[in-house]
Amino acid sequence: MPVNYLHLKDQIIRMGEQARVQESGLSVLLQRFSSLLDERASDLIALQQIVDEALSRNNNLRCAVPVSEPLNAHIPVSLPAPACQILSADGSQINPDPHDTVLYGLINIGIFHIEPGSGRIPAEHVRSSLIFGDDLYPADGTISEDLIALRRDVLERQALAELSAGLPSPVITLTDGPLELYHEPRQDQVFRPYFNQYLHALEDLAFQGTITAGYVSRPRADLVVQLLSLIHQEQSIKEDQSDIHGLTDLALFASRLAPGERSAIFRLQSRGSADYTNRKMLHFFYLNVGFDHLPAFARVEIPQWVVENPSQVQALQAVLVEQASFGGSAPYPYPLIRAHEIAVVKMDDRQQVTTLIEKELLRQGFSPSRQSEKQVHKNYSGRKRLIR
Amino acid sequence: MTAIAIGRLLRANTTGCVMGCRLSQTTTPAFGEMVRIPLDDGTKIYGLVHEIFIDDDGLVRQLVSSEVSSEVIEDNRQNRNVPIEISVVFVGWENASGQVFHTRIPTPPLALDEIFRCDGREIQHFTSGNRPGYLRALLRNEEIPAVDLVTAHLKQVLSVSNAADAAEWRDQFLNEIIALLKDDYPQLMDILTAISTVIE
Repeated sequence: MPVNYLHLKDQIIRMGEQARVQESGLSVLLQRFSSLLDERASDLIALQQIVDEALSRNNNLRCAVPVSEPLNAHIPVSLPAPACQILSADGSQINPDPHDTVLYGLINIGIFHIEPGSGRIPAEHVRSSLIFGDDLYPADGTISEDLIALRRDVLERQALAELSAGLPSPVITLTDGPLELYHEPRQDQVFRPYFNQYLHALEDLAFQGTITAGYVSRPRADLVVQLLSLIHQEQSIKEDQSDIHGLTDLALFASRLAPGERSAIFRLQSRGSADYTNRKMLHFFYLNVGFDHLPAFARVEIPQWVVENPSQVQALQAVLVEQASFGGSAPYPYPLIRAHEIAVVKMDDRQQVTTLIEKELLRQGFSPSRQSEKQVHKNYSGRKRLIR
Repeated sequence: MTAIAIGRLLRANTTGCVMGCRLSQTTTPAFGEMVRIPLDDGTKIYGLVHEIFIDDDGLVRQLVSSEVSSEVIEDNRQNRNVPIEISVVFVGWENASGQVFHTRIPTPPLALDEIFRCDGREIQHFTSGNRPGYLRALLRNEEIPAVDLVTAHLKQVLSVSNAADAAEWRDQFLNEIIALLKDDYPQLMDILTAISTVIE
C-alpha cells in the first residue's frame, strides 16, 4: 500500500474544517482590504511614501508599489490585437542523476514564432545544450538543480533576444513565469555570471524595443495585499500579519476584472527586484483572459521600457487575451502552450540521449557503466497479484 | 515529372500496411484510391486505401471548442505531430520485369518505405491483362469495408480508362464478383446495389 489512507482520513477531515474556518476569516479581511483599495485608489504619492518608509525599516519588504493608475483601475482590452510577431520560449532540463549510467545534464529550449493575421505557418525552434565535463562541477560538488534552472532561464532569454533582433516590430516575447528569477538574491557567487547574462539579454530586448512579458497563470502572489497591509499599519490598526496569510491579490481583483480587462500597473518591490535597474525595473498587472462564464486570471510581469510605452501595454494586453481565447475551456496563451510542448524533454528522449552518450563512451574505449545498485532496485516493477 | 511521396510506412504485414502522412487535404489519398510502394529490388506493391484515421490530442480537443485563427490551424496541421494514419490493403504486386500478380505479396515493405499515389497509367497497367483476381482477397477480408471499397475502386478505374476499355473491364469485374459471391446472395445484392450508383 503506497499511502496509509487510514492515517490520512482524519487529517483530511481536519484540513477541510480548517479551510472553512480560514475562508470565513479571509472573507472578512477581503472585504476590509477591498474597501481600502477603493478608499486609497488615487492616493498614489502617499502610498509610494508609505512603501519608502516601510522599506527603510525593512529591506526585505516585498509588495506592490502604485505607479500612475488608480489602484482599482480596470482597463478594457482593445480588440482585435494589432499585427505583430510573437516569440514565446520555454525550457526543460535533465538534471544530472548520480544513479544513472552516465552523469550529464541537458537544457532544452523551445521557441515558437507566430504572426497573427499573416496566414503564415508558425515556426518552431529547438536548442539543446548538454552539460558535461567541468560544467558539471562549477563549485563544490555537482551542479545544483537551481543553477541548471538559472542556465535554462538565461538560454530562454538569450534565444528570444537573438531571434527577435531580425524581426519587424512590434515583437512580443513571452515566457512562462515571472521575469524576476528569484524573490531573494542568490548569495552563491557561481550564480552571478549567469544572472548577469540574463540581465544582459533583457538589456538587448530593451534596446530592440521588444515588448517583453512574463506570464504567471493563476497567481498566488499577495503583493497588493502587502501594500494594503502597510496602510493598515500606517493607520495604527495593528493587524496580525499571520491573519493575512492566504489572502491573495487574485481574491482582491477577481470580482473587479471583467473578461479582457487588466488591473493598474504596479511596480514590484522586493530584494530580488533591486537587480533590475533603470529600464529593466520590474512591473506587473493582473489580467482576466477568460470569458463571462469562465474567468481566467494571470499576473503579467513587464519591464519599465514596456510600461513607458502605453501603446505597447495595450498591444500586449490584446495579444494575450486573443491568444488565450484559443485555449478553449482553459484560456491560456497559445504561444506558451506550444513553446512548452516544443521544449519538454520526455522520458523517451532522456533514454535516447543516455544511450547515445553511452555508445560514444564505449567507442572512446570506456568500459560499459551501469546504474547504481539503488536505481537497479527502484526500477523493479511493483508487486503484482498472481492471476489464476 | 518525379512523383512526390504522400507518406511513409509505419507498419505492415503481407495483407496490408498502415502509413503515416502529414495532414493536408490536397495530398491525402481518398478512400478506395490505389497506391503503390516501390521496393529497392524493383518490386512494386499495390494497395487500396481502406481507412483514414486522424488522431487527436488534448490541445486539439481544446482548440475545437474555440474560434481559432488560420495560423493556429496551420500550426496544428503542419508542425505538430498529428499525422494521418492511412490503412492500405494490398491487392497485388509487380516484379522488376513489369509482370503484375494479383496475389498476396511475397514480403511486406519495410518501415519508412515511401508510398505514392497511382496515376491513371499505373492503374491501367495493374488492372489490364488479367481478370481482377484480387477481388477474392478483398471480398473475403472481414476486417475491411469490402462493399464500399470495391465500389470506390471500380469508380477510380473507370474514371482513368477510355470508354471501350472501361466497358470491357467493368464486365470482367462484375463477372468476377458474381462468381465469387454466387453462394452469398445478401452480400452479392449489397455490392451490386452499391456498384449501381457508380455505373451509368
